[in-house]
This record gives sequence, C-alpha cells and structure tokens, in this order.
Amino acid sequence: MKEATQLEDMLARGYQHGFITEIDADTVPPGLDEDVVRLISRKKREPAFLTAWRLKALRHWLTMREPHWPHAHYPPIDYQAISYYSAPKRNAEGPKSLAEVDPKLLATYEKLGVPLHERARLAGVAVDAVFDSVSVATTFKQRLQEAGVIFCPFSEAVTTHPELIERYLGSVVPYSDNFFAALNSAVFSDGSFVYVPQGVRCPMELSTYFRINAAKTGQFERTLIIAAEGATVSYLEGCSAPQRDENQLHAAVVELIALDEAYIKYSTVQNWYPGDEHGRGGIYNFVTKRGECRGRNAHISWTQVETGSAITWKYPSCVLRGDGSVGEFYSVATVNNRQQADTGTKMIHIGRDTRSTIISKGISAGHGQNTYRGLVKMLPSAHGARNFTQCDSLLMGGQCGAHTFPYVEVKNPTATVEHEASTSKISEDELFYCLARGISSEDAVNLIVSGFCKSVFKELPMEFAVEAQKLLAVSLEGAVG
Amino acid sequence: MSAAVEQLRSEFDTVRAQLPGSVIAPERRSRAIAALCAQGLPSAREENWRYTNLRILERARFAPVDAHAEAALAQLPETPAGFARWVFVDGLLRSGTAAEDPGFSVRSRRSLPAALAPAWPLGSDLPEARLALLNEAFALDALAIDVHGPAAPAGIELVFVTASTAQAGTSYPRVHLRLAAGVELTVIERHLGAPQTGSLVNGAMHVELGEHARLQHYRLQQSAAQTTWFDTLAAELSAHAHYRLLSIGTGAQSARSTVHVRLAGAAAHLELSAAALADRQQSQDMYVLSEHLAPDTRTTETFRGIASGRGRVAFNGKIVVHPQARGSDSRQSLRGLLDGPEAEIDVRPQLEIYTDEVRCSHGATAGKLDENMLFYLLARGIGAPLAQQLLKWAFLEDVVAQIARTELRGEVERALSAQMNAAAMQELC
Amino acid sequence: MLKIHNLHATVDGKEILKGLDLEVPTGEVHAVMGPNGSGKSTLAYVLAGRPGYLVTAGTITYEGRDLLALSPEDRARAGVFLGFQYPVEIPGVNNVYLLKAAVNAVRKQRGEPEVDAFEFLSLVREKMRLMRMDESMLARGVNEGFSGGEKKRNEILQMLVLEPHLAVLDETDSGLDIDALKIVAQGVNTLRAPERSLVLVTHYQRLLEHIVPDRVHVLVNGRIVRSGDRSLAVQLEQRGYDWLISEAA
Repeated sequence: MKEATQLEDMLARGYQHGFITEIDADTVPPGLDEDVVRLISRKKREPAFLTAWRLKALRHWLTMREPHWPHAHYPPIDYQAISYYSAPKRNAEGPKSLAEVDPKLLATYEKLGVPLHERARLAGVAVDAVFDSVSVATTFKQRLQEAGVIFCPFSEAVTTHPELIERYLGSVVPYSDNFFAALNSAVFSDGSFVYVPQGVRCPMELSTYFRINAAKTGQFERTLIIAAEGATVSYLEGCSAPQRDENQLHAAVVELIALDEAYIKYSTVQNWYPGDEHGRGGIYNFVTKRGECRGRNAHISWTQVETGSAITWKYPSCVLRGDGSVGEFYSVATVNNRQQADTGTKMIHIGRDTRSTIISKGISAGHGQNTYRGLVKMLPSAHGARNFTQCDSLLMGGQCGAHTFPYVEVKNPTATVEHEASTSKISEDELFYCLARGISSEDAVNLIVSGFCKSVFKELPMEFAVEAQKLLAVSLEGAVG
Repeated sequence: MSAAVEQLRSEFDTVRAQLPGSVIAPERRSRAIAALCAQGLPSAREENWRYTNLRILERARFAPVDAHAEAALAQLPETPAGFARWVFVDGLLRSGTAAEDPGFSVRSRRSLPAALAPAWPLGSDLPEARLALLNEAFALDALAIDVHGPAAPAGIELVFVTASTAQAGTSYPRVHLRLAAGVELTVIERHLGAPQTGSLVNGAMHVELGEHARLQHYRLQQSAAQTTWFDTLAAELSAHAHYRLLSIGTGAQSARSTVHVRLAGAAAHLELSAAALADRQQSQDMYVLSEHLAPDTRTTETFRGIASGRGRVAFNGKIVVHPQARGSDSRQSLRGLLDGPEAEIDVRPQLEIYTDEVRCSHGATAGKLDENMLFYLLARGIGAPLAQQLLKWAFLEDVVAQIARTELRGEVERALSAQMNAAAMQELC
Repeated sequence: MLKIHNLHATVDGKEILKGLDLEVPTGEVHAVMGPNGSGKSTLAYVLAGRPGYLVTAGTITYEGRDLLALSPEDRARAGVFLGFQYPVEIPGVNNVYLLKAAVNAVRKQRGEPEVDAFEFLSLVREKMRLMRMDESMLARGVNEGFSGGEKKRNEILQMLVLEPHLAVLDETDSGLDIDALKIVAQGVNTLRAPERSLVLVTHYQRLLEHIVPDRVHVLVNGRIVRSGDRSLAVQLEQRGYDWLISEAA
C-alpha cells in the first residue's frame, strides 16, 4: 500500500509513555536472599506473621524452576541482578496528603493522564498510584470511608487491618502456586487493598495506576480485593513504564475474593513498554491473577486490554466454588513488532450450576506472537455447570503468529462446555470497502479492529473503553502496510 | 520413570543380539534406545501425555514377544472382495504371502537378507512420537508395502491380533506403506485380541504418499478388553496427496494413538475422522499433530467421543501452520459426550499459526445430550432409554457416515452398537 | 377429550399460565389465539410434558386420565401429539427411522406386533405424496437442513402417520407461504374425525380459513379471556388483540 512510509513514520513515533522521571529513589542493591526479604519487611514495618510468610515463600521459591511452557522465547533472567525494592525517597512517614507528594511524581502522573489530582479527577474515580513499588497516594479516601469501603495501599492495610490481610492473603494464590507467585510473595512491596463490606455497593470506580520507573528494578505489586456478602465493586488498573533498553520484570499477584452474592469487576488496561521494533527492552509481565467465588451466586468478571509488554504471561482465572457463581473473562491482546503474549484464563467449576463465559480476541501484527491458552474444567461436583468460549484471532502480516491452546476437561455428565475459535487474516474485502468509501487505510484498520474487539470493549467502564480503543490504535500503528 | 528406563536398557542389552538386522539395522536400534533413554519414557507430567494411562510402562516387559502363540483366527471377519489380507499375531507376520510385482510389492522384512532390506524412513522426531523409538529398538518384523502402479489389489487388509499377555513381552507391529505418485489405495487395519488377554502393544506405522496419491485408511481398534495399546503413526504427504484416515477406537483397557502428519507438498490434504468409546475403566486417548509445511494445504478433523461408566476419552488435535504454508485451511470439530457420573472427556483443539494467509477454525464441545432433541423424541412416544441411544448413535454418525464401504460401515455399526449395548440400534444399519 | 381446569404453570420461576380453563370435546377442532407472550406455546409444551415447564396448580384430564401424571413419551403413546413450532433438527437420526420407532412405541404399548417394514414404507410414501414431500427426505436426518416450510410439513407427516387422538399444533402456520399453508391445512383436514380432537395454537386467523374451527379461544396473560365461534377469529383479525387486553386488565 502506498501509505507504507507514512505508516512507518507513525510506527517510529512509537511508545508515548516512555519518559523517565528523575527522582531520588531508595533502592535496595540487586540480589535476593533472606536478608533482602527481611529488609523489605522491616522497611514496611510489617507484623511478624507477614515476615514469616515472605520467608516461607522465598524458601519455597528457591526450590522451584522457572516455567518454560508458555509459548514465549526470551534469554534467561538473572534473578540476582534485579533490585527487589525501589521506593521514591520521601519523608519517613509517607505523604499525608497530596500536597506532600513529590511534585515530580505528580507531574509524571499528569503526563500519563492519570486522574490523580483531585482537581483534575475524572468524576467518580478513586485512584491509588503505585510508582515502582510504592503506593504514593490514594484519592477519595474520605468518601470511600463514609461508605465503609477500605481502599488503600497494601502496605497501609498491613498496619491498619492486619487481621484481614492475615485471613485473606494467599488464600486464593498460595505462595507455592507458581514460580512467579512465590517470588512475588517473598518480595512484594506494595499494591492495592480493597475491602467492600457486606451489602455495600462501592460508590465509585476504584482505580490503580502502576508505573515502573527506576532502572534494573522489578515491580512486584500485590493486590487483594475482598467483596463481602452482597457487595459490589468495579476496579480498574492501568500500567505503563519508561522506555529502556534492558528488560524489566513485573511479577504481580492479584487475588479476588467474592462472598455470597458479591460482584467484583476487575478491568485492566495494560500498556507496559513493549520494547522497540527490534525487540530491545520492554517489560516481562509475568502475572498471576485469580479470583475465587467463595459464596453462592458470587460473580467475578475479568476484562483486560493487553497492548504493552515485551512478554505477557497471565491467566486471570476464576475458581467457581459457590453454587450458582459466575466467572467471566473478556480479553483483547495485541502484539506488534517482537512482542509475545501468552494469555488466557482458567475457569474451574466446582459448585453446582456455575457458569462461565470466555471471550478472547487476539490480534497479531509485525513479528508478534500471540497465544490464547485457556482451561475450562468441570469437576465432578459441578452439576449443571456451563461454559461458553469464543476465541478469535486476527492476523496482520505474514510474519506474525496466532496460537490457540484450549483445554477442556469435563468430569460431570450434566455439565456443558462449548468452545469455538477462528483464525484469519484481516479481511481484504472489509478493508477495500472502507477504502472505497474514502477512509484511510490506517483508519480502516482501526475501524475493523475495534469492530473485532467490540464484544470486549463493551465490558470496560465507559471512560476506559475510549482509552483502550486509542491504545489499541497506537499499538497497531504500522501493522498494515 | 528412571527405573523403567533402567529396565528398558537392560532388556535391550539382553535381547539385542537376537533382533533381526533386516527389520531394523542394529546401529539404528541402538540409537533408538539411546535416544529413548535420554528423553525418558512418556510421563503424565508432560502436556501431551497427561490424559494417557501410562502406569503399565512402569512395570512393562519391553522385550518382544517371540513365540507363535495360538490365536483364534477363525473369528476374523471375511476379507472384503478384491482385498489382500496379511495377519500378524503379536507383531509377527502369520499369514499372507509376499507379493512381488513391478507395480506392487509386499514383503516381510524379517524374511529378507539384511543386505536387501531397503532403508527404513526416519520417523517423527516429536517427543510425542517417541514410543515409536521403542518399536524401532525391539521390532521383530515389519511389513513393507510399496505400491507403484495399477497391479495392486483393490485394497489391503492388515489384521493385528494379540495372543500373548504383557508378562510374555510387548508386541511391536510395524508397517511401512508407500504409495507412488498418482496411486490410489484403500487400507483396512484391524486390531483384535484373544479375549481375556492383557497384552501390551506398541505399534508403529509409516505412511508416505507421492504426488496426487490417495489413501483411504480405516483403522479399527478393537483390541481385547485388558490390552494396553500404544500406536504411533507418522505420515508424509507430497503435493496434492490426499490422506483420509478414519479411526474407530472401541477396544483395549487403555489406548493411546499418536498421529503425526506432515503436509509437505502443496495442496496436500489430511481428512481425519475419529470416533472413540470408553466405558468401564477404559481410556481412549488420541494425539494428532498436523503440520502444514506447504502452500494451500488442508486439514479437516472430526472427532466424536463418548465416555460412559468410569471411562475417559481424550482428543488432542494440534494444527501447526508454518510461515511458508500460505493459503492453508484447517477445520476441527471435536465433540465429547459424557454418559456417566464418573466419566471424563478432555478435548484440546490447538492452533499454532505463523502466517496470515490462512483460514483456521475449530469448535469443541463436551457435555450431555441435547435436551431439545431428547424432548422431541420423547414427544413422539420414544422411550427415554431408546431416545438416548438414538442420540448417541446420531452423535457418532458424523464419523461413521464417512465410511464409504458399505460392508465395513455395517460392521463398524454392529461393533459400536454392541459396545454401546444398543441392540435396537442395529435396525439403523 | 381434554379438560383443563385452573392451570397455573411457571417457566424459569416465572408464572406464565395463571388459571387457564379449557375444554375440548371429542371430535372438535378448537383454536387458541392470542398475542405474543400470552402463554400459547407454554400451554402446548405443558400438554406435551416438556421438562422445565412446571405445573404449580390445576388439572389436565385427557380421555378421563390425569395427563400430568404421564411422562412425555407415555402421553405421546396415549395419543397426544404436539406439532412443534420450531421442529428440532436431529442430524444422524434418520427421518423414517424416527417415524417407525414412534409407531412401534405405540403398538408395543397396545400389545400389538411391530409394524411390517414394507407396509409401513408404503403408508409413509402415500402420506408424503399428500404433503407433497420429496421422498429423499425420508433418508435424511430428522429435519436436518430442512427449510422452515419443510419442517412444518414433516411435522404434519408425522401426525398423519401416528394418527393421534389429540393433536396440538403450535403455530404450525408460522413461516409458511400460501401454497405450503394450503398443503399443511389439507393434511390436517384429512385427520378431522369424530373420534379425534385438534387444538390449533396460532397468532393469526389465516390458518383458520383453511381449517375451520368449531370454537375459538383467546388467551391473554395466561388465561382464556374469551371464547366464541369462528366469527371471533374474524373479529380479532379486524380489531387486533388490544381491546381484549385492556378488557382483561
């Protein structure tokens, strides 16, 4: 197509969140042993149970081997070359209000378009921002407190609500779950904590913005969300990172717990730095996300838009334990250049009449490799359980890859699983139709791709659906030429 | 598994001197055993073996059965008209005569002087295909079928009977089938066994299809109830070759078949239809890899499995479209039916695609009978047990209806109804 | 033939039939008409015993027996026939086999021997000619790949072969063009007999021009709100259902 050069220009424009903030950081030297874990725990003034838990996780991690079953290729990671803690330097007590937050940090969030500052807020969104590993500010605390909702940095919750942490931490993703979860359990530094009490409908969207800034650090945040009986909460996380030549490790753990009749909606717009067109740099995004519907008719819904990261390895999953509980997974994942994504979900049906829906849209461009991997498992107790999965892949260009690896395991004769998948090239007929109506090829691609992803975007909270669509357009720049 | 590997190596060392070099050259046997020992025997921890019952490998006697046991050959179904039949008992050729014709040759390699035996093609190097190495190391005989021209019979029937127990050793049926360019052939392959015999079978088959060759290959796995049956089938297709493989698995205690098809020539086409039934504590597991290596290649896969009792049916179908395979097309329809509170169905349709000029789709379902269909039949006065059997029957029909030969289809239908305990279904035949 | 008294039925926990009364004497043809969502199909399914259609109160007496005590297959064997609004496609189950199995199920119930295959086939062929169906349809799967009209004709064919005592035809006219409608009506009319009753469930009057009913009932919001002779159907055609809905409310 004649627009090729123009498209290449757009491609060269590349990642727009790739600035670095110069800020004094309190960084632990690279390496990992029990002393480092104790140091992290001490810095965060954690109770003894948590220190002990971290150490158990570390000891377990040392016995584990990095998994290589994902459909991804990367040079070996030297876990001793990573710094496991990096906090922006600040007053020992931490900021008491936004006024005390380092103005440079606030400026960073401004650049990211994070609605951190209350003046500039998006109506009704409470934001917890995690900068490298430390949560820097949480907005709207007041209003949430009135509703009885706890929404605060994880490290704060450890001191203010240790009983909740002790009860729920690791109860969905135990420290022994997998290599990266074990690593996270040993060294996690911060993240968000949400508790919505019985019968409360959280009065606003909750949001966390994650940012990796310091060089040679890993980010290991830990998020724990509990919705008590009849509670409802919608939570959104956004991610970005500076442009750097080396790869950075992001190994987060998210645990969701929904009790009877509770509803948790967790949305992610992931835009970590994907590396350049030669595959230099970019985030290794190795994340464990799992929700457990612990009560009757509980409902957990994951929506993700994955456009960033050099390598993505994540399977937001649902354990449907409560009778009548519902799990959903809606995903758009794009890869361009040398990006690799291996993502999908696990739906484990345990309770009677549990239901799950999986809608996955994969888009591959450039030399990108995109894999859907999903497990639907019906245990013998899952009477009348149902799953429906639809998994579509779109290929743009002859050098990318799209892979679909579903697992269907059914051990109950009254359960039903249906899986459908298709893979095809972006339709030339559709493209031509748009061009013939005077639409530029770039816009035409965006139009077709957003049509392809529509069933997922409609699951996002409104204001983020728009952002996600833009992000998608940016990440696919130069994909058709 | 390391104890099993030890056992394997020591058994090999004991019998290696007696293994016929004309079937497989001694160096190749040694290489096979070395490769297998290095990789280890398959284990349930491996992705593509997790649905297979591998326990028997821990206490197997790997040395080949080397005695002509008496088998109940009288029970064999009639040879279809125009077909030539070869019968193996415990992996050893028992009847069927060598054919030497310019257009058609069938030879037992064991009967040949080593120097005359043509080179055996290299098998699949997939880790999933490594039980073929075991066959390569221990096979006592192999049938080499070469078809060049029209002199060939209408079809070939290969009958594999097991008569010895696993304690007497493993049986290693081995076949190499080559169709030259433009040749058409039908092969019927049957696996049977003397009842009450718990045999261990580890077969290997290699199929090569020349350009525009067409092979219609029926495999009926009706091994005895106690048998453990492993099989590895590797096929290589040249341009415009068409391979129709139709497999019906009803027998054995535990069956695992591994199929690796390479669509190496442009417009080569694999059409695979498979049906499997597992009841009691049976397990039926099939792994099929279809590799698209050339432009305009096609794969069509249909699988229907029914698990009843405590049976387990697994189908793992992987399709890889390599960058050069532009214009490829693949379709998979995999469906499993559960018919018992302790039954299990595992289906995995997998797509691995490295080019954009493709059309690939798959559908997979696992579950119970369609309630709308069931009610429709009830509303016509048909009783629930019959209605269920009818629908199970209809479920398998997508595969069974692909059997072009009427007499064979009738036979398969009778076997399926016997297995499903659905005598009434025979009216349908 | 059929007596329905104070019938209440729920589907997915929602009450659809709310105290329905209906009586169909032997030898008569009754039409049940009503707007969308009034419960017409629910009534048809309840009569046939579809799982998930729960009767919470009331009685249905068929030929002096408690119909609700019978399983769906026993109702069919006792001579109740439901013509489906959406006939189910069953690929792989042969059309003629289904017919034969259904006929034999009735015969077995009555202690009669199974039908002779040859006689049966010629009977089916005769009925197919009446329904102007192509013989090739016999060899196909039940309704598999049939057009909407072909499916409806196939329903009537089954009815003609099974010769039920009570036939409930649910929206048999929907999706039919005028020629097909005539064929279907003709098929139904051949079955009118003093010992047989028919219930036609329909939204429109046009079927009733070809199969003239003895009585017409209007179903609104789960109850019969009006009954009359065939002129009621003509009236509905002209005035719509709204006036009856507001009257009922």
